[in-house]
Amino acid sequence: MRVNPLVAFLFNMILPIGLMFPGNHYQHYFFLSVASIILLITSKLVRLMKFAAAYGIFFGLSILADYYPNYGGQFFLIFIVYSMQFIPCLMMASLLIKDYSAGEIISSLEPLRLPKSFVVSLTILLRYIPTFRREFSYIKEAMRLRNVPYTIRRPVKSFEFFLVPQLFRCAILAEEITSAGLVKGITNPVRRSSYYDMRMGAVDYILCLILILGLVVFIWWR
Amino acid sequence: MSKNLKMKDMVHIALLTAIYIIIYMISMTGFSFLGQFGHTISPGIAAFFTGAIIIFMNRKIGKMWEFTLFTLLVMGVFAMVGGGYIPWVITSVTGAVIADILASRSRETSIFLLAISWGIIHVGQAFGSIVPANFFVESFRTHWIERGMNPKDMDLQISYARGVVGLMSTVGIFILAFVGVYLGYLILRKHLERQA
Repeated sequence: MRVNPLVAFLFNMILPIGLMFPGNHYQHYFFLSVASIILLITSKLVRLMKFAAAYGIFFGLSILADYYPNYGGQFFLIFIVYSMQFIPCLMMASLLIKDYSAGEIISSLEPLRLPKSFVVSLTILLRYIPTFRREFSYIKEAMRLRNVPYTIRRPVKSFEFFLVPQLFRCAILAEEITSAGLVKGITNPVRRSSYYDMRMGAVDYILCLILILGLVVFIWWR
Repeated sequence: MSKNLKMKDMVHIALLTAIYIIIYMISMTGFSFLGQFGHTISPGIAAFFTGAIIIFMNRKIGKMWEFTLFTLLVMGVFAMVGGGYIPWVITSVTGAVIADILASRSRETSIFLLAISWGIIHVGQAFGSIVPANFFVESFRTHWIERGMNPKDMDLQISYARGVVGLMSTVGIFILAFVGVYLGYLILRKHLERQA
């Protein structure tokens, strides 16, 4: 079973709003539980186990950092606490990145009537971040073939080898993505149609209702 | 050349923003050993390593509101992963608008002006914690402690953001961003000349 991408978007918009009204420790566990339930009903059990393991590691590290503040623990505590707070968002982001195409995401956002340019930009940005590693591996491979190494002895040169290909690759990708988008009529001002049926189902509405009710409850119950 | 951002420009800005966010994350993690001081000046550290991005954006796009869209996308991504904080959004977008007015009129903006603009954008980001730490210290402290920060760490961070130390942090962030653009120019100059 799949949930509508809007549910994941709503989740990732509601969680930061909830965090702006802190004061109830159950809030974090509420979002963690809802994210876990969504992964369960979408049959992403292996992914859920991986996130659970990551959460467990961060939880253990946070306890260690608190027990040993004089051994540099406090320095890393912010990073650890933030990572734990982000895990429910990352669970939802994993759905958006791994389980939906860019077309499906744009189609699902259509009813929100957001500026198309912003939606397209944000979608491209979200889809590009996870492909960075692959892009970087292509660049590393090209450098290896030309016998150009990364070395700490020449930091500026190494940084140049890391950054410049990425920037120029972006320029090429921008051309390619825009061309593909133009062919598909992305700049056409009429309402966009889609091959994908991205209507909200009963489960999607129930999940949205739970999220909104949860947010309201945790804003009042602080 | 049209002065409005077109779809291609927006796509280009989105991709450059993705690179910026990745470098921001890497530098934040890499410099986490600096503790609270590192956290306060993290916009400057990120700006130091990403100065080439503003030069590249200006030379390839060079249109009004490019830095504002860039900042809105950065804020959008941070909000989506739980980092949204309204004062931060307000100061960041204000900084970006000023930077746009200063440096987004053409593709040939001077490196000096781009360096100033990059500094303003990142001082705007840093003001998201420096302004509340100076003027709304109690609510700022309570907010972040309730969001999971350790009270001791929070007090340390506030001490880096208040008064003379806060001013020095702001100047430090501006200088790091300014130098970052010149580092970016050093890296990009010959590549852009070759393209031209």
